[in-house]
Amino acid sequence: MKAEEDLGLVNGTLDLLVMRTLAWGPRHGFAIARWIRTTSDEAILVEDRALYLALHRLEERRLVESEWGLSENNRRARFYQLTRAGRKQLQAREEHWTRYVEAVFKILRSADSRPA
Amino acid sequence: MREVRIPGIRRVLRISWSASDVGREVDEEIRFHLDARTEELVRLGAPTHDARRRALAEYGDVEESKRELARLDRHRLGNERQTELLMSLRDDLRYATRSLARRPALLLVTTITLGLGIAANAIMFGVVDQLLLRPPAHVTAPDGIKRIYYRDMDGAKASINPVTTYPVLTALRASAPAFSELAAFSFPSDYSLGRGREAQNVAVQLVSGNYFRLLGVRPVLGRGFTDDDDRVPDGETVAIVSHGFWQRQLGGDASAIGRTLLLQGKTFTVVGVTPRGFTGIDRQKIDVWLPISSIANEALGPGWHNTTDNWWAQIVGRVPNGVAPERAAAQATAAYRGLVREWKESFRDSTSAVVLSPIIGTRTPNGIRREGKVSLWLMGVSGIVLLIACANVANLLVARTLERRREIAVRMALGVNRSRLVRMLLTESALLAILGSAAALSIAFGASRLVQRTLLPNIVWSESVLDARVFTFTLGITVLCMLLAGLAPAVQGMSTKVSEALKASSRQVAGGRGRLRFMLLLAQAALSVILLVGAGLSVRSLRNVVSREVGIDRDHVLRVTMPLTRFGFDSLQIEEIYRRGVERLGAIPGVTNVAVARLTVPMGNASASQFSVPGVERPTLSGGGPYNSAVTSGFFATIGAAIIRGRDFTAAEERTKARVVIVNEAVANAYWPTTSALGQCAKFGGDSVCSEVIGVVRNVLQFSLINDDRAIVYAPAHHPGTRGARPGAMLVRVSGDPGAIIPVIRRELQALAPTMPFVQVKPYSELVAPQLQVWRLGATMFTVFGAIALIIAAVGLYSAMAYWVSQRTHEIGIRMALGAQRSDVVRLVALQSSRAVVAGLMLGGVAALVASRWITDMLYQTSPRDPAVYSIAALVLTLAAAVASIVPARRSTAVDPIQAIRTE
Repeated sequence: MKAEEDLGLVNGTLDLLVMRTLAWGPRHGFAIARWIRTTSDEAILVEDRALYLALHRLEERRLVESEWGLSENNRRARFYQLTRAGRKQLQAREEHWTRYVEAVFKILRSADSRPA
Repeated sequence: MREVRIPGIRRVLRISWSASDVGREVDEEIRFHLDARTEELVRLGAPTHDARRRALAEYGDVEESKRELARLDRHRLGNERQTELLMSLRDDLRYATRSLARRPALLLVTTITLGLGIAANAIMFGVVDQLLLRPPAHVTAPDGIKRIYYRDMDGAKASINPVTTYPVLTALRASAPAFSELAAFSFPSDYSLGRGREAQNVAVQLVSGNYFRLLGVRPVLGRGFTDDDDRVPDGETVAIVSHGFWQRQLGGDASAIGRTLLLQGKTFTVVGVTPRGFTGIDRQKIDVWLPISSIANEALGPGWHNTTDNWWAQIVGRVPNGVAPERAAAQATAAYRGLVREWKESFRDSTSAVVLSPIIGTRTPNGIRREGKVSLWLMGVSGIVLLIACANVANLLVARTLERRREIAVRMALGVNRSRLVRMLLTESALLAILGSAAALSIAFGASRLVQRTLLPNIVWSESVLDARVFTFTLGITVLCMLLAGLAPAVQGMSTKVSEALKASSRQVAGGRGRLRFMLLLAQAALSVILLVGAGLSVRSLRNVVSREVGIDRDHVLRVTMPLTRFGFDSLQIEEIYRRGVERLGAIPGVTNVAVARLTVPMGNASASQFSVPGVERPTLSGGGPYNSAVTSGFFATIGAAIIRGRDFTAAEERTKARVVIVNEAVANAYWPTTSALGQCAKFGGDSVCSEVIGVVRNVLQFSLINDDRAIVYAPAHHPGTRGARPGAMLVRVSGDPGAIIPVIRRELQALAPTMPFVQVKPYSELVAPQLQVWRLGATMFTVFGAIALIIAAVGLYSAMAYWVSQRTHEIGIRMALGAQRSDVVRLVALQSSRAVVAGLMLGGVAALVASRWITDMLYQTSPRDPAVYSIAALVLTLAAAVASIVPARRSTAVDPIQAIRTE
């Protein structure tokens, strides 16, 4: 699958998506990937490698933490969950993102009436 | 998520703890992802190998990813470890703070104990550092500067001294090219500044023109001297002043340069100001430096640069990098021997040599000077105080660890590992050590200056009491102390057996632990005995020096000197001033005797001239001589020297210039060891006729309070053998307080010679005071340290006994229930404490006996085995021990048997 065919990801968006996914509770990497894929109806396609990079980076920044647990079919899997700082960060980013998107939309919708 | 923190419990759920785990975990994580995706795709209907390929493609570069993730994780791990360490340290610290705060008495005792112990060391280090270790301030490359000493034969033994005469400097400069520079300087002496009543004394040092250049000292204002300033024989009348003098007397601004100073009636122009804290090569108070040749004609006499009888100069030389000091010394020795060959003096011959020594004046080729030696000794003593303090703190901490055995056992049962436990205990001692050193620094800050200024006042100390070196030293001993005091409880904590401690009741104390505590108590007692003995011996020495019979009644005799020759009075005028002066002073109420001495004056001049006894070969005399003195009748009565055989001169003998002499014991013993000196014939001075020895007088102090038994021969004032000798000083005996009479004496004499700038009047007690300092330093500090040690040891004993009693409440209760009397219980406690004390006394006494051999040369006429001193030390320690045990012993009798048994 080629990058030009996906919706390219705005910087930092992947972090937001990952954290959002973790908002419901601990998940392993594969589950996060699957969730992003299906929820976006395969519109957002990222390399799994980028996803794991994001996870580990978030962990380094102490926004998520990880521990080993058992997957649905009883295999050892690394589960991630938001830290308290991560939760706060998610909330802030969501708000920011929403405002940003709304602003972009406003401009896009008014694109028919050209500025004088 | 923050876990509940139990100090020392490792976060068991954490991921990867070692760096090697990181790679494995990343592998496993990616493998799981790929497997899961493959399975999912297969479930959705893809063929297996296709599914695998697709999963890999979706993932991206697996190997690269592994590397990225592992790198990130390792970085995170590093950070976390650091945080973990900091947090556990913070936890340890917080835990230690809290547990110590619950025991304020322990905290107080350890802080004061360690504070005193460490402060004693910091103070003594400050003294030793400045006396012996640190080169003089502002001197550039001090290692290259050598102080020059001369080794000559004095009698049968070699004497090494630093004072020489000017031609030696000239010779060394000419023939010892290994030195890049050679400079001379004088001892500082009092010069009058200004004239008449406003005149004041300033300390002046004469230096050669290259002195400042050689030292590399740059003036903060103006310039240093040049070789041209010090032209021989008449140099420029220029002066360089000290920073302090500049501030005090010259307003401390740039206009000081070019101002004139009237010194000894001669006008000098100020050309420079030395940097603040520069005190010359030795730590002496100096206000003004002058080029030697600017005033040498007046101060040293005409022909000063050629004469070899004027000995005043000290020489330093700079040996450049790359030149062996041995070569410089060899060249200097050759030059010196060339000179002394010409002098033809019995005690300087072809074996004379030049010896190079470091610039620090207390480190002479003869060994360390007395004040340095005493300071080193005291530093050792302060080390013992610190050991006692550490033993005390260790003991307290061991007791504390014992009390907490159950707590420690619980922690260990919970999985706290031993190293973490040791760290917790060490943190506690570290905290105590830090508090102790903080207390120490404040004590040292207050006391250092006091010790330096009052006990060694003639040394100019550096202005900052606590500098980086003292801080570093204090830090060092603090760490040492922490390890010493913290290790015992830590080792003990480690050896705790979980099962045993949990089973044991808190009052059960294992015998081994008791032995450790006993040993610590014993060590404290023993070390205290050593210090008390040392203190006793040094106090005794001081008393012996102070009360030594020196032939002069120090408190009631004043020495009066007038700088008449310097100010142009001729011999006739001088005789007249002295004659009328004696009359005037004799009339002052409170003055009982006045005498005049010529040639040799106690604590003044020493003049050696011819003296021979027909038929007796000139004996070797320690201290040279015999020295000649000419005195007015009544001189011995004035100074208070006892004539032990024969009689004093009469006024008639003085008037008729009779040929009679009085010799001191040293002369009598050297010349007539087997017969009586009385009635013997002696040829005195330039006289060719016999003078009869009519008396033998006790040895009189000349320069030094001790070891100064110079041979002196006294003649009546105008004895034919003393022709041309001018009066040297008046000696005045007063009946009351000399302080009130001194200004009267000055006024009376000043009136006789109004143009004379000043009259110096000093009691002998003041003249010899500097010599007592070093004894006083030893005695005072030894006593202070001994007292500190005693207090610390007593506090240690007290707390040990209090602990012992508290641990045995149950046992005491049972004993009392079984009919023991209060006195029995007290005896039990006393027995316990006296065991350690008696053992300590014996051990310490033996150690002191052995160690006292080395202190012998620090003592004066005191046996290092003086039984009185040992008995007093033992008594003092026993008393202190008794006081320390009384309170715990009384507390033990207050035990209520029923209560004590019930609590179990």
